Amino acid sequence: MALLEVDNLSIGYDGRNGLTTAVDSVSFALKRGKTLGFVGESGCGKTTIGMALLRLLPENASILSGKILFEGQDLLELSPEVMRAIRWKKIAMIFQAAMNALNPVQRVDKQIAEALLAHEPGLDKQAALKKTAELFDMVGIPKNRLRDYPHQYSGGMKQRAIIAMALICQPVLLIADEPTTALDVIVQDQILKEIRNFQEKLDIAMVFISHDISVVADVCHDIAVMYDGWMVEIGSREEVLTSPAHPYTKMLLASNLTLAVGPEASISIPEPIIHIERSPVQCPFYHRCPEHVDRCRTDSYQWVPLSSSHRVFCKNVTEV
Amino acid sequence: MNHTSQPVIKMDRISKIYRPKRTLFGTKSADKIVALNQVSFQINLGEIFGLVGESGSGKTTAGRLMVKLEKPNKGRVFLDGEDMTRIRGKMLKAFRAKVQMIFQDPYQSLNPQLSIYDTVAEPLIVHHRGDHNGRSEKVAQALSAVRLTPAQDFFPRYAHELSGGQRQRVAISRAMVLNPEFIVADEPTSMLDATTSYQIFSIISALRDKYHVTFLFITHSLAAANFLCDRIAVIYRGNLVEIGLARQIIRHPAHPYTMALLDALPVYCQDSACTFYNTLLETRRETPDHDHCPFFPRCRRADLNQCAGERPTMTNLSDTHSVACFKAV
Repeated sequence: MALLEVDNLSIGYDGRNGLTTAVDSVSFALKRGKTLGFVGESGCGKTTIGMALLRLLPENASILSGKILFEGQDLLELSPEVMRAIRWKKIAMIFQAAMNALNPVQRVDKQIAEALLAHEPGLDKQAALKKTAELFDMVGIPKNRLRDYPHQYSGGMKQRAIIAMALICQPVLLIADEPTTALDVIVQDQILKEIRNFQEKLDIAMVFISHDISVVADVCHDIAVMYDGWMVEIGSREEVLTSPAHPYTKMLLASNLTLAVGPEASISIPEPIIHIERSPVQCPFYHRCPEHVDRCRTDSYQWVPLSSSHRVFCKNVTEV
Repeated sequence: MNHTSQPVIKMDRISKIYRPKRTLFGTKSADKIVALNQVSFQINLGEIFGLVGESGSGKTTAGRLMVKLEKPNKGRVFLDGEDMTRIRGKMLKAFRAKVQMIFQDPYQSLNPQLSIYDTVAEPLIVHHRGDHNGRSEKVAQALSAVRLTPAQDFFPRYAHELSGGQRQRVAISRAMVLNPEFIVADEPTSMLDATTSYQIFSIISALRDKYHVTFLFITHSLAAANFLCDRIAVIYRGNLVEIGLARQIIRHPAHPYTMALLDALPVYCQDSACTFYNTLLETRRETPDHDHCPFFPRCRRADLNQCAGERPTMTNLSDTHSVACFKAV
């Protein structure tokens, strides 16, 4: 059985213009030891999904429908106390902008041990610090830097410390929200290696959120593509990268710059249209889609299965 | 493409050192920071020149020096063969009309209280170009050049009504409206999504082809530089380490740091023909206290005598390709 099963999840935000749906009918499953990558542009709802898994959505957000089954129980039905016991002990998160996530006036090892002590009150302080030291060793922070303050760390080291903090309670599910976005290429490469490493070693499941499809391709077993709150395609890394079925996935892949693509290659990217009224059945990608037909505005939606693991949400794709 | 080797802008042995401010009791709070160390290169007419490096490498400082937002401690800046290092007054104002800059973050670089028309027309007013009608025509042209069409529809709008990509295009059209010779684009897409970045790149490339503007494109990504640039320079901690045609740098890198940057790209960004160079040391070496190669502490290829005891200078590998590394020559 899958460790995590999200079924038909919809999330909305209350704003000045009424309710905006940020995540619309998203379903996926994740097994232990596997990584699922969410990729899409800013505002597509990928971070909202991550926050919902930890039940850390802001006040003005509401779950409109759906279930989040974690180890068989629906997280959305748990009391705040029970949820707090699961948070960090079983499901941990590496937040976006980790640079600012550390307390500047406390030594790094103490902060991380504190996270462990908060969730395991019986543990004595020395044992917690020892565990922290072990974990720092695993994520590649030298021993003599344990007692430093965060400002003495480089960006990459802060990121490593944040990863150590997420792993300290040995969670079974980790949510990584753009863990390398603020980092330089070389540091990014090292952190991604570290992530692959511990994931294999500890056999945990991971939801990996990024706007960069090449980063997702580096660490994830499965890839889900999001567009405007909709999941438009999901499949194994190979299926999505080598035989993308949704026109948006194709556009995303084509705009990813690689060393193989020189200035002579050129694709056209239609303008995104913001805040447009559309009927509930019209495809959200309709206006930018190079392959759109009349059917995309009128027919109702359905997932088209392409293999046992690969499916696409496009009216224009027919089953194989 | 326009490859005459007529230099438009030239940096001649530029050094920039930031000294920490004295603290209240006159004690020094930190050591001086060398942002640029004896950097020389020139950018030719109609060229898109890529400056690639990590954060803190001095690439933004180099860009700011070229448009005179900073003063060098040593060295000179030339525009069209004339020394611009110490110009003031009218000369400086004329210089400002010829060089422009596009900043990293379009969410912060545009004045939220100005309409798009006022934003783009402002440089024309500052430099007394044209009357009211003439200006509105020029603004319309500049907006159409960045594919914000129909331009008149954008005139009354404000920055907050636009998407990130559209804002950055407004910033580009503001830089273009004076018909400058040279534009510095400082990581213009680092705040934008992949599809939007791609659009910005194709606009920059089209502007170069149509108006023969010369660009300095500052980026941390060799994949982006490969896509857009004619020539690429790689900078490491204030030192220029390699300079060459884009395809030379990508296909035949000579400096171990360039190789490390290529290695670090996600696999999906690489080419199947790429080699893995493995030039980066996992644990840093001790930094020697005398002169040494700036990359010595992290270089797997370094030897403990020459690389630790001497600073390599730029050496030509061919007419177009030079490198500062003892092991590459």
